[in-house]
Amino acid sequence: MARRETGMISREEICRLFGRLLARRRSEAKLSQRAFANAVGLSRTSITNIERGRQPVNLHTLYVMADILQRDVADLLPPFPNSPIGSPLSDEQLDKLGPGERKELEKLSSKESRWLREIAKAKPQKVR
Amino acid sequence: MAKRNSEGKAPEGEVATLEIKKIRDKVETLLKQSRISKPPVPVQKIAENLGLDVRYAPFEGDLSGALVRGDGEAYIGVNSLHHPNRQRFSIAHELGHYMLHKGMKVHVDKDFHVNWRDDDSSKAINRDEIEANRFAAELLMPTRFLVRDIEELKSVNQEIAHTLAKRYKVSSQAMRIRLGNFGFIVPE
Repeated sequence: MARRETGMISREEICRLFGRLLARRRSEAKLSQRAFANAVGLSRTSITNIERGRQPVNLHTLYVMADILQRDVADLLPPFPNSPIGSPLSDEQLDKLGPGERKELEKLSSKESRWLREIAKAKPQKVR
Repeated sequence: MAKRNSEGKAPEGEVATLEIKKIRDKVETLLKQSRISKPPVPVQKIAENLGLDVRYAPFEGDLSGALVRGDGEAYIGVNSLHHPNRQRFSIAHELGHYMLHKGMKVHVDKDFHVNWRDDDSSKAINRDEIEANRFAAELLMPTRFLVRDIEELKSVNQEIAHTLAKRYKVSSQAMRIRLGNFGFIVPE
């Protein structure tokens, strides 16, 4: 795999992106921070910190969270920023998106994202 | 017909009269350009005439279609696991977004009937979806063709609705809703 030009993603950046994604998935599951914290076995403050990107989570906690949210673990993992691998679109296409459209894309589950990538690569089936 | 307020805005779930006229005119133009004079309307061919590729991939679940617009290319994605009639509706729905909602570069439709909650822009998104649905209904069951088929009728029963659905290659449900636009209530 070719090395990305953007360079290594920083620890802070991963935590920030993860936190944002987790907050979205939690609210999609209609769970309050408190209810979610109880289920995971962490304090509400910890969840707040994690969602704000101020605290990392360990791998086991990640699986527990996915289990509680009834999601694939992959649905909790943010893609590389601007990566054509994590996104159904090319860098070029991504650059042209407005913030609203980026938000729409981030809302997709990993399964939906995979489908969109498959579509992007699919050969058009012409009528006659 | 539902009541309208003084600004002429349609109640939620409906498209304003003016919008319907706009949508109908766009559909008419498309049908004329593609020289289509009878059902079933070849939606994929119309998409291709507009320069839109139609691509298929399977998805287990409610995801029905997508519209992607880049500089040089634009395409419609369809869930190949859905019933062919539903695939036709999905293509028509995405064509609706393409014709009516210029801003969207990437748009994925999970379920047209979903109420988009807890989102700042939920109202606007909802309106776009309703308009795209109306466009799809007008394109698959054009007023001009459908009026020909039903003008002599006093009422529509299930059997007639079913026959019409087959002729237009749409689901019975889609036909039932469409007949409602013309004041026909089909008994369940």
